[in-house]
Amino acid sequence: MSDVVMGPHPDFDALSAYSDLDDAAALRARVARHVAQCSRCLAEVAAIRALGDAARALPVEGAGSELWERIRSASAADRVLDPQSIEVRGAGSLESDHPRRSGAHERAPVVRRWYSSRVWLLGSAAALVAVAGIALLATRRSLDASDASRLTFTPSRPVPGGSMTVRYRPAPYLAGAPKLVLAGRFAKPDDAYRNRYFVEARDGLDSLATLHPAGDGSYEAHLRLPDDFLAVRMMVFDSAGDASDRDGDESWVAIGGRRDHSPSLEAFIAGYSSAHRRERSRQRVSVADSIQRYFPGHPAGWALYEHYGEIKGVLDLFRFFETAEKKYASLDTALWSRPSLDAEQSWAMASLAQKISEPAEEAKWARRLAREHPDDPRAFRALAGMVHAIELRDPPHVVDSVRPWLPVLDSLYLRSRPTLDPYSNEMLLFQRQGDSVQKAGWRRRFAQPRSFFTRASLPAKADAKTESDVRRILAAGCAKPSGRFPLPDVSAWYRWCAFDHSLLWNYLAEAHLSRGDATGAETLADSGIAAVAGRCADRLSLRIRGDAKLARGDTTGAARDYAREFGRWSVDREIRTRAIARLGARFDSSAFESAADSARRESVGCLRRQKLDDSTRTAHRGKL
Amino acid sequence: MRPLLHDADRRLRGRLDALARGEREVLAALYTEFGEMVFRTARRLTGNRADAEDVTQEVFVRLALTVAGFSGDAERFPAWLRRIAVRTSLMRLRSGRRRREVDVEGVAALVSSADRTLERLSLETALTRLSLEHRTVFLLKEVEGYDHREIAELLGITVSNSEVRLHRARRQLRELLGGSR
Repeated sequence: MSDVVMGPHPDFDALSAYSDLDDAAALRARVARHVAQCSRCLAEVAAIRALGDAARALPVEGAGSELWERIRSASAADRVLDPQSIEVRGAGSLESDHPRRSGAHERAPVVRRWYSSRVWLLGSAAALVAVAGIALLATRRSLDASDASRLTFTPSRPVPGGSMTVRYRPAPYLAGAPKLVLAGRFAKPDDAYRNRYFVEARDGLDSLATLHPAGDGSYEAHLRLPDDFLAVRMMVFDSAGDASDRDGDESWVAIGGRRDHSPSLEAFIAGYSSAHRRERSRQRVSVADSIQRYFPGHPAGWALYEHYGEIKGVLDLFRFFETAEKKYASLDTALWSRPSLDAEQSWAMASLAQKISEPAEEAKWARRLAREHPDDPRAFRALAGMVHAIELRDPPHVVDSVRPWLPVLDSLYLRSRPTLDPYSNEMLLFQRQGDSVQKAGWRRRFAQPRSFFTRASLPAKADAKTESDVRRILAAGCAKPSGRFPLPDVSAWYRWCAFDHSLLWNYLAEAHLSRGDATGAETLADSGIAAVAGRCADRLSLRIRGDAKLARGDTTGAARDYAREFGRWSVDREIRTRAIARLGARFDSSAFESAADSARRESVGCLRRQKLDDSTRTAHRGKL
Repeated sequence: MRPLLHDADRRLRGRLDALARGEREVLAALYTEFGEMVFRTARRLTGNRADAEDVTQEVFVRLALTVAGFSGDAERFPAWLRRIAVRTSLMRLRSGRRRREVDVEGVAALVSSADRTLERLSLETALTRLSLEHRTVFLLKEVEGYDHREIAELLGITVSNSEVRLHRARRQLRELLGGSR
């Protein structure tokens, strides 16, 4: 055989790829004919395959008999979190374990892969976009809203007690107005530690200054900054409050510095909290980046990254191999042995440990924070987070594991009085795990006459008066909110109001069901579903309606509702388990999965519509 | 009436639920059944006994939490568990927190045997001389039996990158073993 007849020999990579093919695919391969006729290449393929055979045949030592003992003791240690083992100064009941490391064999934190193959594609795309963006925006030092509008401010790092000049190039629908209003909110130091489930753009805004025409079509305003200035978020309104502009889906945020214009960690964190709490908030990513840049030894810049594993910015391309876990390990080594830390450091370490799914490490830092800074609101939040982690992983014995912590948490709450929403995690933790006295106490503490999420402040068992109050709230509907700027962004208000009403309908439905009125409960649950129609936020209503149908004997309808509930939230296997438990032998797996699939598709449609609605609203903002 | 779950699935589900409830005997039973598999997978990938033990411990200590992510039938459980072992091993390799102790027993075993061991030694030695990324892809493909799509997903690389790494690993092995073209 000669090369002239067969052509050139395939290279090693081609033969290597060929050796991986199964018989059928190998026959179709481009190199197959050559290999079939070339003894040299055939031998090479055989040798390549032999490498694999030899590797598979390599003996591997077995696990030693002592390994199980190690796992058993580590498993036991992993489950023990004793509230008596930390000390809150003044509370007097908690012991310190600082700064001693625990255990002869320290379990390494789990290292999660936080990048994927898709990241490279996305990263490449992001890099291209970034290059294009940098080319286009190289001269801008501003916060851009869109191609149509832009807001800039000087100095770039305003100082407390100083002044700031804001320049606004208007969106077309605001251009030509005799004057505009710069509305905003100055960040407060404790903003960072509030549980804010929804921070809408207009939440807590007030008029900051009047924007006057500057002659070139732009508008300009001068602000005197307060002496405790940290950061400010801003929007622009017309003078009637009918139209507004902001930075895409977010407000513009200006972050201050120290009086000598140097960067301030406190200001960065306040600015971070001023940014909207939403996924992939570029403002938050930008702030976290800045903290990492200016305060590389501080854990806050890492703790404030919200979505490890996803692209958060172009610079992430360069961080693929710098894992959060590695950073945590190095920060842990550097900080833990120090005799004392400020609250921000311990809080950030607890947050970072939580983000890398290391509950034991999170607990360690939460306990240290509580011990060293019991009067800081973050101590309460960190310890509550730790207890919630116990709650999540120990469901069968949760009462035993969690209850001893509740008095500790209560004590920390009374010392620091953190701002809590009625539907905050901490409030719900007490509602889930507290005894009747604790539940009632916490309900009273946060009872509000009229608020979103009123359900959280309602008694678990409805009485006649409560039901009457709830019906009155529902009858009032979602009235237009009053305020300085009543028109823009009301859709968000309506959305939350509808969600709130759906919860109230469910509350009534459950009350009827508990009295044996299945038909009434079904009708009320229908109303709960209708209140959030098109938003696919009807999971709880579906469950209650399913229960009502089951109570009426409509097994098929109940199964369908349970399946739809599961489809809405497929990550929660409990829903499926509960459906099986309730339907028993009448549970039909294939019908269940089919209905769940359908609900899942429906949810995707809902999200798309919602996204479209939001983008349409953004595109037509000011015309609402 | 169709059964809701097969017996084996029901048995496994019962064990996993018990594990999630914190029943240690179940963890012991699962370790007895699957511990060797997990350890050997980790041993091959990490290349040393200490790391393999750490990985095995990690996998089983966290099993009570991770079983929540398993929704397949009983037949798929070993593969699911092995995948976790692979992932944990890879994470350990990436994390830079590997144990640096010299594996004395391993070295002694390697240097004390005769001809058959010499042949094995050469391949084992050659494997240790590969870069981590090449060795990992080679072992995942040839020994663990993952395809390139799965390897790409496990390592966070592209399929073609996985293929290229495999070819290079093989080429280097051939060269190291004296059989290069």
